[in-house]
Amino acid sequence: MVGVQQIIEQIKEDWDSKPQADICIDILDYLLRVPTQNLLHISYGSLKKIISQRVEESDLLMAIQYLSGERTPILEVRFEFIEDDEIYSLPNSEIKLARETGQLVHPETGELIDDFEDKTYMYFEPSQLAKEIKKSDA
Amino acid sequence: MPEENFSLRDLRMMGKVDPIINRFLDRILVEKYDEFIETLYQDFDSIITLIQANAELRQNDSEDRLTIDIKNQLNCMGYAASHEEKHGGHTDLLVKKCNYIWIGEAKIHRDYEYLWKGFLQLSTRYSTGDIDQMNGGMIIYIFNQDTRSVMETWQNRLKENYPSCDIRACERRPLAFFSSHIHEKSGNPFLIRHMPVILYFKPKDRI
Repeated sequence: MVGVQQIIEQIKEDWDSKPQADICIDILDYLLRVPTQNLLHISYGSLKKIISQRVEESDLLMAIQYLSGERTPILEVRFEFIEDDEIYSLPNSEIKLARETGQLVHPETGELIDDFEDKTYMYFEPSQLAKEIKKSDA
Repeated sequence: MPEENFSLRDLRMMGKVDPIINRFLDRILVEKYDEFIETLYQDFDSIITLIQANAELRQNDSEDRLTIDIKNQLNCMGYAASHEEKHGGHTDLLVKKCNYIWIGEAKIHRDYEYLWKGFLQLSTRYSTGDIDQMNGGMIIYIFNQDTRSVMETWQNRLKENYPSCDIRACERRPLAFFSSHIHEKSGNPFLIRHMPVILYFKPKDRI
């Protein structure tokens, strides 16, 4: 299994002097530092807050894409549908279908929702790899 | 929207001005092999566009330098890309995602025999043509003028050297094309995208 130092080196190798290098390292540090029970649902806003410097939205998104990708997979991207204070987790297959058809099937009522993009949000969880690194690092 | 959340609409709006962000969800949601290939080729086109936009800075770049830059950009997009990874030999570019593999052979265009050698390396040495790697690519760095003519000649040479090879146009990028032939190892059709990178740079405004 890869270790923390190896991941940091990989991040630096891939991003060099770009702002995403620091963003990725801040997110990695957050995942390792915060107790696992507090990382079950990480909002986009929470990720933004833990970054030590002000960042462009696109830089943060690219860092998220990288950390949830194949090479440095420490973050899982999840989706949730929020309507009238009710929150429903959505599997990726539902998001794919909704993008293809332009309509989301309401997780409870089964009704078709046209404006699902306004009510569907990303959130994040530590990946299995992040959890293993955290355990071995403890 | 709740202030600290980020909706799919926010993502789509950002994607309208940033082609890399535009395919954020496509990359996250890749499950099937065809989705992997489609997303990868769109990402290749974005990367190639960026390289071509600064051709003046690339005039002394080697094959390896150019390929390593492509590899780095793919890694930043969430792929696991490598250069010189051992896979039946040292591949120029190996890209992995969701247990799928794509292998690319990168060549600076010197002559068509050199491209043919690259085609053979890709088809008969590095790839297996199995179900997880039914596609591959030729990345052709072209420092000569008239890329269209180079690609047309290369297409004709390919047909001469490999008469049973099928050629079809690439709709998204007309300078590129696809070839398909039966892979010797797997017996499956093996589809290769031939992608030029335009690097000719001889401005005439200051002569």
